[in-house]
Amino acid sequence: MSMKILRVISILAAVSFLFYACEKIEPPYKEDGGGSGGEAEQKVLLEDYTGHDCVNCPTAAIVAEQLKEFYGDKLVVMAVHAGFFARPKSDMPQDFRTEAGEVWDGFFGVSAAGNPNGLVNRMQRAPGDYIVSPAEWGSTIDIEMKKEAKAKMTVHSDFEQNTLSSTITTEFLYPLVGTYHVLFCITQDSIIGPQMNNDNNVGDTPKIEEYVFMHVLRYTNGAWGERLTDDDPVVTGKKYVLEVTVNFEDEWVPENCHVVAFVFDQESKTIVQVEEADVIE
Amino acid sequence: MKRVLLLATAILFIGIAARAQFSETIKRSEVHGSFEFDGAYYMADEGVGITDSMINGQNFAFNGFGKITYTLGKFSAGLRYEAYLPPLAGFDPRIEGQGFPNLWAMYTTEKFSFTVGNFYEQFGNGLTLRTYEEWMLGYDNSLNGARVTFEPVKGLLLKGVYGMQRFYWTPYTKNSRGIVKGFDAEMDFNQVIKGMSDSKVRLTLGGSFVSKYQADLDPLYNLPRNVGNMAGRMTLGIGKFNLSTEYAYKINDPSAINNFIYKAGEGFLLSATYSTKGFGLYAMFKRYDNMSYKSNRAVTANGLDINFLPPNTETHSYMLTSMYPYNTQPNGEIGFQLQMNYKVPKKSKLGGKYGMGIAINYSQVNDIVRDPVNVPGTDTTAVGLPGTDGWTSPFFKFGSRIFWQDFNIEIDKKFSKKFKGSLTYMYQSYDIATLEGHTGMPIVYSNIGVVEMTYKFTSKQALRWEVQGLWTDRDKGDWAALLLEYTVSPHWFVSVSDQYNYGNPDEVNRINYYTGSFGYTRRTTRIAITYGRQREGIVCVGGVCRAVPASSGFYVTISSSF
Repeated sequence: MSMKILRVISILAAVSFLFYACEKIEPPYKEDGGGSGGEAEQKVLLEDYTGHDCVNCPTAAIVAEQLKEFYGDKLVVMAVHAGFFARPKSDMPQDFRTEAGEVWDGFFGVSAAGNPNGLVNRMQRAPGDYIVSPAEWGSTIDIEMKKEAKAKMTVHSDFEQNTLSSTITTEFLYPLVGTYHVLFCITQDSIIGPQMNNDNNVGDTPKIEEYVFMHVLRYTNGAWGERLTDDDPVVTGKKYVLEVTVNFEDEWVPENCHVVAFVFDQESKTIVQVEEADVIE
Repeated sequence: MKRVLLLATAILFIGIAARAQFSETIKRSEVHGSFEFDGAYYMADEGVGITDSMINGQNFAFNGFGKITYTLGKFSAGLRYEAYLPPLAGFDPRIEGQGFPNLWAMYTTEKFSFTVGNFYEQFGNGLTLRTYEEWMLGYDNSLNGARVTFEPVKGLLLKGVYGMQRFYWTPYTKNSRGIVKGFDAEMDFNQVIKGMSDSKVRLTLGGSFVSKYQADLDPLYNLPRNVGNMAGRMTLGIGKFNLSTEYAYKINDPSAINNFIYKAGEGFLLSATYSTKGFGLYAMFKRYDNMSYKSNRAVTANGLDINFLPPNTETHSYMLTSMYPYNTQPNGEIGFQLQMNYKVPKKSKLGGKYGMGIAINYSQVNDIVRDPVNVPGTDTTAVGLPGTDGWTSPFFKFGSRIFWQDFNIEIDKKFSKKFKGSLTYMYQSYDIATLEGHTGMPIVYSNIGVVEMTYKFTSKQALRWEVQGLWTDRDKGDWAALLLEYTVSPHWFVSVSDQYNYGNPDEVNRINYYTGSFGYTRRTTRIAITYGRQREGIVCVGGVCRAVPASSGFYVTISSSF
């Protein structure tokens, strides 16, 4: 008798299990969204570690562009060309690597884990583990975007006679404890050159001869920037100012360049706030 | 005083009884275990292009494990300790760390078994579920949770599993990876049905259903949180003939591996064997269409696979026959394998005194056909675009792209009591662009030959040698390889080998990859030391490529079991 009951229960459990363990989604598969922030909104930096010899990277760049379109100004994208797949080759002599990019790549272990991969506000998923794969960029950015902004940043630039002078102002909204640095970067859009590719939906395979490189990191004020202040904790409401002057290289097209500035905790490397502005305002 | 004496006596008796019970328990307990330590010392080697600055102080690497199992009657428990400090070259860097990634306890009765902790399980051929560990690859996708098995009658086995999978050293936190649940039933008709117990017809039927749950935090896509994968299987044997088949169907599973398409997945396996004394035939057909199934849809490299897609290609072990190995393409492949084994009888003209073995094998894998589907919200079509149904694919059609072809024939013969040898010829076509991610490179066609001989000087001393050649005008060009191994049974061995890339179109890269090893084995303990060079390579798994550098230096392996 008890075996019979057991059998009936097993069958019922199996049937209900089958019923609830499948979720068939009907089209449309994509969600509508976007958003606008308030005055002190949390912005997020997405770093896409890439290389012109990385065949899977164009697909990841599309993901970054889709997220940029979705979030608008709240998302700042930076393409860091570093590691094995960014090395110049005889048929691809361009070199988009930077000293800082190579240092970050080594420190965060991005290309050691493979390309494409990225960082989102340099947050640690687990102690020492910063890397976010392209499939997780959206969900990770979404979580970061919803956090309360702990600082505000503004960037003002003057570009004259091939020289950029920028003023970065950081105002903390909370008395954060720690040592804070500001990294000042210049990124460049619309650089045309060859890029290896294996996704027919993105372009020619195996190589896109005239690929449009976007958000390419060109310059930084050092691998770990400059210390913003000796105040520890930082003083809320106080405007911490950093002035930077950069002489532009010949290949950098100022109309296509942006300033990306972010303030971060030097110990954990976590980014508190990021701001992006055009070089030519 | 009397009370004290009484108390003392009571304690003494309890002590003796406890001790007797304890030593009785100890006698009935069984402890088994195994250990392995693999260490490396890397050195600069100009010949292979390794400089001191590349090694950067990280000269030492260490992979080690220790496994212990305790059994007492119906109860057993075990653990495994692992350390990768840092891991040997070629291992995924995320495996660096140490700890106890495997802990389990199990209780078995006549009809039931209950397991908690980490366990390994397989449903059928693995198309819905297969968790296993492979030390040499750094692969471990164990389930951590609970398992129940129930055998209501002999021959009918029901299994249920629930848990989450191991992912290197990352602990489970909310939404870090999916939760896996599964159910399997298998019936052996010859045991269950009394009338069939002596039948010449042997029949087994089985079915499995697995589901994974993962939250949808993606801002762009509407992702399914529960994804189910179900399969039905059958094995049928009649006399010398055997047939085995399994079909799996997986519902929409957009993931990084399939580029976030909403297509269902299908897997199909069919194999048949015929064997009689001295002769065997084997044929296999398989098709996979969008069958990657991971418990975290964002993971691309090795890790968190819930299922396993059996290959239809032969695994080779010689240095040059294994240079271009096949790796399964879960997004789609269709292929077959045919094998014939024949033992030429002893005392025949060709067979000689001891007979001769002939094995002929052919396998081929093609891409599936992919027809474009509508892109929602537009009037265009595309193949494999994210947020669409991916593609449609006629079931039995072979795509035009050939990923792999392998024809090989192996003849082995024992010439005398002291002397035996084997001869292998292989023709291979290897789509290096797909299989290694070298996009744009043409297919590598190669001819490979191996001659292996073993000569026994005495009953305890033997010398084995292999001469190999690989001839191709693609990729790195021609190779030659030589291996010499001298064994003094049962304890000692010493060997030297060299792989020489004499045909590399780039003269600078005509490198000798030499190694020398010696080792000692005593009962279950083995120690081996190797000195030499390892080739460089690029590992591409699931859309992510990682460069594995060449390495040079010493390697030590110590293993033992008890």
